[in-house]
Amino acid sequence: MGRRVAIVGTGQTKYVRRRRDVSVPELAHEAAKRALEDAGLMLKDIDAVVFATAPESFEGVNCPDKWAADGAGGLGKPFMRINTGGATGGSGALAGIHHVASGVFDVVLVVAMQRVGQTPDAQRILNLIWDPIFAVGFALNLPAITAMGTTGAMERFGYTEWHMAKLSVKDHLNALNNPYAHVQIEIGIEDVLNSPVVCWPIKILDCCPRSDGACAAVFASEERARKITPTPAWVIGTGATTCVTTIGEEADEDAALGGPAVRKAYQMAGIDNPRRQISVVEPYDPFSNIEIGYYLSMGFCQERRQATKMVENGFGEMTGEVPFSPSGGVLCANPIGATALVRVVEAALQVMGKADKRQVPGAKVALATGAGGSPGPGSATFITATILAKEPR
Amino acid sequence: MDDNQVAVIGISQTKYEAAKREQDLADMIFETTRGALDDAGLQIGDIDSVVLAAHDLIDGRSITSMLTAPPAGAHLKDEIRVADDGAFAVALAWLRLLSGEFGTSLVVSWSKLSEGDFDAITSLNFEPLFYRPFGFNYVTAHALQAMSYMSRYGITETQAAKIAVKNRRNAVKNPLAHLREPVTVDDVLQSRLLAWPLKELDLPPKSDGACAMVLATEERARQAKANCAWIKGVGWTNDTYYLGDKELEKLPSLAQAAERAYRMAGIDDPLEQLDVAELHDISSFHELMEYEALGLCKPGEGGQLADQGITSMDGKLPVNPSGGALSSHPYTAVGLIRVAEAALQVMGRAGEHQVPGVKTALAHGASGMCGQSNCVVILGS
Repeated sequence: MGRRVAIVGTGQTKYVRRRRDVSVPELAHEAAKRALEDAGLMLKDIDAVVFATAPESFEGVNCPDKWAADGAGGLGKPFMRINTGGATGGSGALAGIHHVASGVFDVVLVVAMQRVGQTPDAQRILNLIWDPIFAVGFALNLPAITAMGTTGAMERFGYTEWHMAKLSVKDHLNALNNPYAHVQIEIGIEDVLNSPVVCWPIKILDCCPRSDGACAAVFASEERARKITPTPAWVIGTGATTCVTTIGEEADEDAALGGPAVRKAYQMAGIDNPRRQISVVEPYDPFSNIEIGYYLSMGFCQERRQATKMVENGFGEMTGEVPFSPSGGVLCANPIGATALVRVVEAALQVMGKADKRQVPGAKVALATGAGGSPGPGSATFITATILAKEPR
Repeated sequence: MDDNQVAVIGISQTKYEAAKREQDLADMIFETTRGALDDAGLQIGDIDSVVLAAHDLIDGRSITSMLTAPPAGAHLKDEIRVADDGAFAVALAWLRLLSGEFGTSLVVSWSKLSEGDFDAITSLNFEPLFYRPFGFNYVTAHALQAMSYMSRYGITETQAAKIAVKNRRNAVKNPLAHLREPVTVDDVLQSRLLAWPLKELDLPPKSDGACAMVLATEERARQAKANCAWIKGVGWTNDTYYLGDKELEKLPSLAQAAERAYRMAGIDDPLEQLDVAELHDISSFHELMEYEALGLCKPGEGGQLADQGITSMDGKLPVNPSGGALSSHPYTAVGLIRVAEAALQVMGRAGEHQVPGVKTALAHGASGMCGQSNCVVILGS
């Protein structure tokens, strides 16, 4: 990168099923204001704003960024909107990083928002992500397409519904420590296994909720970052990959799980042994089983069946070798366009040592990913990776 | 900033037309992306960044890039999409190249307005609580703005009509333009009234088409191509969404965007220093408002520029030699086309609509309703 960039402030709203008390600009404002307050900055200190939000059909307003702009601090400032589906928040973070790394801007506010709660049926809208001729007609939706991929992955990785349930229990347990999490319930493995089947092998407790919420982060150049906070979260690696994932053809499992994006970020960050060098991961995993594939694509193991063993050994639990989703993850809050920025912000909080009850002790390097799009007929998947660290590189 | 850090090294546009029935969205995007690579003398393997500009509702998909990113060359690339006008994609690609992380970037944008109901989609730009019940859409909101501009400064319908006449006359010489028949002031004034003061010929048509370009860092540009257009300045800003909170007769975010771009490019007298401009003419009235916001004249004097022919092909500062959006309007791509046309002018490759001796060109893109967001790019030889 051209110059060092750090996160110096973050803000989140409490994620809930539906925020009836705020409008689009008011919700964006809530997160933006908290991020500024956290950084101890005023709006006049912000040079540019990046706004990230995914399918606007959720809000029922075309270009909701334009409506939200006043609330997000974009009045009279450089302002643009990013949309890469579920990866939107991660792409927004990368755009913010490039705003600063370019040398053109010193302090940039990234605001991400989604109001999934405004729509009566999120899957009806998500059905329209696929090819209108081949896919829309047979009522494809995200649990269904994920279930198709999961049955194949169960075969290859050798995992069962029990492994999926174990990961779901872990994330739900973690969410109890995160005041912003949407779903905060204590559950056991039997609860997951006995919860209603959405599309086999996926059950309701293997699925993310649909949430309303916004998240914001302030990115700053090194010079400004050091003046703003004693604990900046330094961006030491970034990567993004778009991958064609047409079902019916051989899908590239590694690319769809973000392998190339993560490895590019590792290379930039000088990470060659992630198992030793990464302290904590905030992955984009809207279904419980996705984490298993990430163990492989993120290089925490070399072989598929090892990944399944790692679930059994509690690799990603709070007390495990590399905690995954201390925040409760996407499984416990999914304001879609904001979700991938939430990953980046939670990773930043970990290396800043500001994650309170969900803090991983001594976290030095954190990996956050985003994932958008989906496999399917005529499809592509978008992956983002950001590595944050306590020390600059 | 230092001069000559990022350049446009390849450009491709489709023919703009009312309905491309022989090509679907992906076909159209692939053709123009391939064309931009060919123009730059590059293969897809030489590209390490892709920036797209596309709107989901315009493309009729919940996440359009799932379909449209692959034909735009994004497979296994670091791709990002702005859901904004195409000029903003140029701005982001420029930032990405300046960051040092990338050497070359494709920038691609498109629209197929033949496949959707543009007025219905733009009515959804208005929030449902206060504005939408008024029946606002692209036409009615911009009519309100044009009306404010007329009443504030005494601008006449005839002065605006002269802009439509100019742009349509220019389009005759642009083989890619959608509308290529010249029109007269009377034709404009007597065309169908849509929302006063806007008549059919004061507004852009609805077009299908795509535009792609390749941007490169200095090092990569010099390896690839002798003739390129350097990005000398970029500025973009955003105004309030609420129509009732702004002076509708002005375009403050365009003025601020231009100020940023001018400062970067060392321009203090744009009318003297610019050789050509490609503006996003939201309507014929808006092109006049844009002259004022860009500092080509004082507030309220846009009509005089039209009367004096200063922005005609043979005037002091030709504006929209390509015919502008009033001749070709694949909505999301309009700003990218402006940058492409400005770059072609700088390279001396604009064919029959070339302005002689262009050294410095301005391109402008707008997004949102009533000129809420604006982006200005200055290109130079």
